[in-house]
Amino acid sequence: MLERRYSVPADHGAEFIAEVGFDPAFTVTIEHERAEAIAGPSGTRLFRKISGGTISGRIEGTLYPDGAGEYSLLRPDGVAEIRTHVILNSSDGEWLYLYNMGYVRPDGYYRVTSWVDADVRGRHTWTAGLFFIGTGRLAADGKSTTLTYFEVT
Amino acid sequence: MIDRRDAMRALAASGGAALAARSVSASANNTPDPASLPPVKDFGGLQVRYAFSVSVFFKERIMIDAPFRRAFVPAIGGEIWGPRLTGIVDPYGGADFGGGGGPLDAHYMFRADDGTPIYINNRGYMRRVGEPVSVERTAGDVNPDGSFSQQFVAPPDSEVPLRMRTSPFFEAPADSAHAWMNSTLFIGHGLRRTDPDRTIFTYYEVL
Repeated sequence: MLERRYSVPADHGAEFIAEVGFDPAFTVTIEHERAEAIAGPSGTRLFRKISGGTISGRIEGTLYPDGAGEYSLLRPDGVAEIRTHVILNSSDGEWLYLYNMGYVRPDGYYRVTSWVDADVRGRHTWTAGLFFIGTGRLAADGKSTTLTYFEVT
Repeated sequence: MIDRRDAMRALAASGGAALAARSVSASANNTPDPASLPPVKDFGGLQVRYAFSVSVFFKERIMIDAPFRRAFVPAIGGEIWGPRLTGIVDPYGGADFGGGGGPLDAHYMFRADDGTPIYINNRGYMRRVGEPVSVERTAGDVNPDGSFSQQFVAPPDSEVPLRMRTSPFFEAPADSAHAWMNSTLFIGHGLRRTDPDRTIFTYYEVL
């Protein structure tokens, strides 16, 4: 065991194991093309071009179909590091940005942390600075992904 | 729990090397008996389990009032304890380089008790509870000679209730007992404490 030069033993008390909670936030269905593989220097980059989709829940709207995508890195250990950049049109007429990063494992585990950027003048400022946790599933045909997001409370 | 057959199938599909096969099976073999771990908490489809706690101690606090503000708060040391990881925070192995008081973007190092170095990129936020979002800010005064102070002091926890949540991403050696951290999402809860100046993080693994 390494020497503890910085330690407050009282911090180890069970009362400092903080509780966290999760509230349902929104569900996103991304429609995309099948993955295009790029064998790069640090793994296989998987590009999925986004062609549309929807968001529902505490944000309602659609995914802008032109100019967004998923650019995930399939590592040599079989795990893909998800990186998805999405632009949304909310039903109340605002543009929002959604960014996912996380892991897809061979066992089907698909979990992401996501950030939403909303205009400070708009109706979605409650998202400012927050991050969300999402669970995802890639459709069997490889042409859509559905993610269910939770706010961390 | 990683199913070996699925893992091997995915590896075959991805043209994975022998090294990869070793690391995936290593992480599967190092999955502890669930009965020895804290209970799983279910939040309507999202399950988490307490993994470990970390105390990070601080001293310096430097603000760089760039167009997008950046604060530098190095980790002078700390401790890691809990069911899935024990060790220390490498003294001055890194810092929070985030926006200061708001967005967190910390890069530093853990050292597990078995000697393994583990890189952490801790992203998240600190938010004053109940305060409206504001984009206005003012930098401090500039002295007549052009110099200015970049020191800042974190207000005591008791005066400004903060909600701090983080989403850390780890990198541990692929052939180590900690390789499971390379493909697991975590949630962190941060509690600011003064005297000594530190933050106690509670980390849950997202199952």
